[in-house]
This record gives sequence, C-alpha cells and structure tokens, in this order.
Amino acid sequence: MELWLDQYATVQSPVHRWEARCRFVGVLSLIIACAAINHIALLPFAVLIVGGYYLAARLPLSFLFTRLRYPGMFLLVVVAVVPFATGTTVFVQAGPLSIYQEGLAQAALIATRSGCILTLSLVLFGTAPFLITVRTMRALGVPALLVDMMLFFYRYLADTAALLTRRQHALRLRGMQTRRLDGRTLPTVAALTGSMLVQSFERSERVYHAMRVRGYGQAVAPPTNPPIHPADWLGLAATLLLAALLVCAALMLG
Amino acid sequence: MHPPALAVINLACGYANRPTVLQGVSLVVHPAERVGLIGPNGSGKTTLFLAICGILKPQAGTVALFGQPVVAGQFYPSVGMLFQNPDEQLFCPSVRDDIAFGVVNLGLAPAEVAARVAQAMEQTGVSHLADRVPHHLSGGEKRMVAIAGVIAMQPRLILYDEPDAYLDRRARRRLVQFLLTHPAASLIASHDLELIAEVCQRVVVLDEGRLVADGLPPDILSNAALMERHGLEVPSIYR
Amino acid sequence: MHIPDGILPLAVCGAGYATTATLTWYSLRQIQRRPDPHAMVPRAALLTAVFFVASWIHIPLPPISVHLILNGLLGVILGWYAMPAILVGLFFQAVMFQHGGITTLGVNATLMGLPALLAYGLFQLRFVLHLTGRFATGAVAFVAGALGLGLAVLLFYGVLVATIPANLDVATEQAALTLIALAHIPVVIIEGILTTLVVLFLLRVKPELLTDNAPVGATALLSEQG
Repeated sequence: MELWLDQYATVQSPVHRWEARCRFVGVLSLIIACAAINHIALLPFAVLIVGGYYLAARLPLSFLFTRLRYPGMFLLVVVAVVPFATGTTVFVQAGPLSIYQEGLAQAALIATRSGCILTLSLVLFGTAPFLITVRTMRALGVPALLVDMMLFFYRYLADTAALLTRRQHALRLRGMQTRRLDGRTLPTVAALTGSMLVQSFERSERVYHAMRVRGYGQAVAPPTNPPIHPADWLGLAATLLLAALLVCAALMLG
Repeated sequence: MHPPALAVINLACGYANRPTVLQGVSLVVHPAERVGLIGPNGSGKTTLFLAICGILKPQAGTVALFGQPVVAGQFYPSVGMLFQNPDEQLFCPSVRDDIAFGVVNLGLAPAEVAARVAQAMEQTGVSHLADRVPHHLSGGEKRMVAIAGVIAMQPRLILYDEPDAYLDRRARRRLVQFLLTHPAASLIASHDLELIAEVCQRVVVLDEGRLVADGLPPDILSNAALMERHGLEVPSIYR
Repeated sequence: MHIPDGILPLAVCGAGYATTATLTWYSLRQIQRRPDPHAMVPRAALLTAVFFVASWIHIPLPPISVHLILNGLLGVILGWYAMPAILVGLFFQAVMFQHGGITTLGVNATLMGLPALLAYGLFQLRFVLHLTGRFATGAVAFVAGALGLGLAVLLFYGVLVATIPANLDVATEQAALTLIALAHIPVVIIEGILTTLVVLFLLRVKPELLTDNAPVGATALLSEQG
C-alpha cells in the first residue's frame, strides 16, 4: 500500500532543497491565500503562482492527476449544481432551467481554489519524506503528544489494514455474506471491529512496555534543527509576499 | 473414479505491488491424502492457499476442487483454511459462537448447527472451552478452536497455513494426533519438517513461486542437495 | 463525510481551526492531568488506526452500501484522546487519500470531534446515574453512537447549507436540512446498534478498554458496584 506521498520525496529541485520549516510556513501561507480568493479576476494569478511552485518542485503531472481523482468527483457535483442554484442574472435559459452568471463564477471559484490548494498540498507534503515532515511540524510547535500519535499511527496503519484484509478473508471462507443485510451482518461487523480493537489494544500494551524498557517518556533535549541559510529566508520572504499580495487583492475586490 | 480433491493447473498469481508471486504452479491432491507444502519464507505458500480458496484471482491457470472449477469471489464450503495466526480467525466473543459462525453460514437448522459445533469441539478436544472468550485462551487452545471452526463446516479439503506456529510441545503433539486421524484431504504448509515427515504422505517444495519438487517425504526431506538449494535443512530424523 | 478544500470561505476554515485548537488544547490538558499521560499514547494511536481502517468496512443497505464512521464509538473508547485521534486520522485522510482537505481540517475535526466528546460524556454519565448493568450500558452506548453520528451529520450539512450561497429562502433551507436529516436516520440507527454491539463485546472480552479512559474516581465507583 502506497501510504505517504513519498514517491517523489527524493527528487532534486529548488523546493526539495528549501529548508523544511521555511517550506512548510511558505507553502502553508500560499494555501491560506488561495483559500482567501473570492473573486474570479484573481484566479489566473493563483493558477500561475501555484503552477510555478509545482513546476519548480519537479513533481510529475501524473502525480497531480491521480491525486485529483477523488476530490474531483465532489467538485464535479458542485460545478454541475451551483450554476443552476446560485445567482439572479440569467446567463443561459434552457427550458425550465436557467444558468446564472453568479453561479458560474461561484463554480469557477470553488473548482479553481480547490485545485490550487490540493496542488499546493502535494508540494507541501510530496517534497519531503514523512519523517522530515513530522519533525518539521514538531519544530513549528505542534504538541509532542500529537506528533507521537502521528508517528505511531503511521507505523501501524499498514499493519492494521493488513489485519482487516486477513480477517475479512477468514470470514469470507466461512461464508460471511457481504452483499446482503441480514440479522447477522451487524453482529459480525461488531465482533470484527471489537476483536480488532482488542488485538490492537493488547499489541499497544506490548509496544508500550518495549518502549518503556528503552526509556520512552523520559524528558529529552529537543533535537537540534538544521541551520536556515539566507537563500531559505529569501524564498520564504518572496513566498510570504506573494501570499500577502493575493490576500490584499482579495480583500480589496471582496 | 473420483475427481481429485484439488487440481491446480499452471497457476500464476500475484498482487498489485508484487505481480508474480506464483508462476506455473501445478498440483494435484487426492481425497484423504495429506500433502506437505514446504519452502522458505516468501515462497508463495499463503498466496497459493488464498488462490485455492477463491480469494485471490489468478492471472493464469485454473483451480478445481473435487472436479468443480473455482471462480474467484465465490464461497466454497468444500475447502477450509486454517490461518497462520489464530487471532486473525477468531473474532467472536465466545468459543461456541466462533465455531458456529461458518456452520450457520451453510444455512443449517439450529439443531444441526449445535450438533456440528459439539462434534467439532469433541474432535479437537476443546469442549471444556465452549463458553470461554477466545482472546483469553492459550496459544495451543486458540489453535485447536480455530481448527474446530474450520472442521465444523465439514470441508473435504483443509489447507493448514503453519498450523504448528506458536505451539508448545504438548499442543503440537495434539495437533499431530488430530492431523493423523482427520479424514479430510489436507495440504499442510509448515517450517516444522519433523511434523511434515510425521504426518504427510507426500511433500511438495515451493520456492520463488514455482513447485520445484514433488515426492515421498523420505525421498525429498533426506535429499540434502535439494533441501540446501531451496533454503531448507534436512530434518534430524533423516540425518 | 469530509468537506474538501476550496468550498468554504476562509473565515469558516479559520473558525474551524479555532474550535479544533480549543477542543484539542482542552483535551490535551485533561490528558496531562492523568498520572501517566504517555502510557495511553501508543494505545490511542493503534486504536485510531483500527477506527481509520474500520471506516473502510461497508455495510450493505440495499440498494446502496454505507461505510462506517464510528465517531461516537471512538469517543466512548478513547475519551479525551478522541480529539487528537480524530485530528491525526483526518490529517492522514486528507494528505494520503485527499478525503477532506488541509484548509478544512479544522472544520472537519470539529464536526467529528465535538460529537465524539459528547458521546464520551454521555457514556461516562452512566457512572453518575449508576447505570452500569449490561443492558443499561448497551442502551447508553446506543444513544452515544447514534448521537455521535447524528450530530456530525447535522453539523456537516448545516455548515454546507449555511456557507454555499444558493437561491433558497430560510424555509426551503430548513426543509432541505430536515429531509437530509431524515434520510440519514437508517445510518444513524446502524451506527447506534453497532456501537452497542461493540461495547457489549468489549465488556465481555476486554472491559479495560472501556474503563481505562474514565475520569478519575469513576472506575472506583464501578469496582465498588462489583
């Protein structure tokens, strides 16, 4: 199972080389700026900026398209419904249905904003291995308990998924019906879920004991972060400026 | 002439991320025959089992159970499978419920279900555990309860995926006794070659997805060159 | 049932992050008050993985099939760890599978987490009300499970209807919300029943899973009652 967006994390590019904390803050500010866009006049600029960062990160387009597939379905529904449901100025009249100008603008806004944010998320999380990203989040002030939970969760997710698959195989071999809802469906699913909870609970106890033996929970000095070079600061400043410009423009047009 | 319990012809099988786990595997198991399946870790034993049961869809080749072709996704009560880790098989809150799970799925009347469950518990020696919680049992007890859950459905072919894993000597002894006396045809995958030698009438060797040897246990297991070549060791009884 | 990126105005995303941060901060404070806050971390994370994976199980509800959410059950079992668990789960959901989104993480975490915490509170009420028998526990679990999902559904559609501009008057919006809520009743009942069944399963197999997260004093109450 391909879990984290690791497959292009070792590509050589300016974005990959950008110091992790600067990259995190910079790209996140652009994401916020894209979410702030409220006028279609700003969409071309947003697309240009976001496209520029994606190209600079040297991530393949196929990566973007596969990741767009799922949210694309939801967006398609929005784009198909909103032009009919929003606005007062009729743009096209088709029998009893009318397409409104405001609705069209709204649909374009939602679709573009969504695409831009998603593309930037790929730049944010696809340009570093999982562990670096998590360490960066810790360095930027995410609570230690949350970071620890993320690490454990990531470590055991694939295992848990495999556990569910094997259990479902075992159930199917013993004739479990998966396509019909009858009196036994819910008790079986409940026992399946419950037994997986118990198994993971017991496993977590063993994991915790093994960790305690090796000193988990002791106060340790925080890891030292790599130095931030002038070029990293410059990239961050430029990105923050772009984001600020977008937000200001949105405020003025809105 | 009875059809074979299992006929696998030229089977190729794999997963999305590992496309060729099995390549051109052909294997016949006759009714009431006990066949040992040996091979190093990752040789494809579990994959072969899942393909036989119709859980994995083969890329090529066919599987037939008692003359009936296996279509992936269908339910075949004639074959039972014992999973390597009993915790993955046992999921009900009581031993009795767990053993009954598959029998109920066969659509039998409650009295018949109860009778089958009682019989399976008797055969595996777990009757005294009927009302216990499976998660609380010892490794050996869990193994026998998992076996009871399989044989209660009265399959005519049983696939055992490392049935001796996690067992102490006494539990292993009970398992051997059970395997020697149960009438169903069986295919037993194990790293415990002494167990294979003791229980099986035939042995096949699987390595890197191919069947590389098929013969009588004394011939195969004592062939030092063959065993060495496929990452196995001659068991002490043949040394 | 996650709101994707790009749909909500920035102010709503910000408000979502604010409520999620508050709920998480308060939860972490409660966790730090436990004698050994680290002890539950591997457990909460592994159980979060189970809930994450369990949401892939589909229940046939002809002619469609629905997948489990189980946020009520998650609250009942994880207690104050529910909020960090949901936050972590939704973060991975958004980054790995693009379900939900980064800007809407706060909103989505509140939609799921607030009902989960309420379900936890409700489930703990049984200690106060001395409803610790098997039947009563099952009944409270049903309400907790159904409430967990029911409230999440209402919040989800509430946020969507309130923020997506449409030519609808208040009455129509209310009617639409009512209709959507009614359509979810079967799913809410299924989640309630499942929560009951899982809680009864755990009560029998591993009762620690239900009592370890209880507020200090409540377990003593339970053991007193035998």
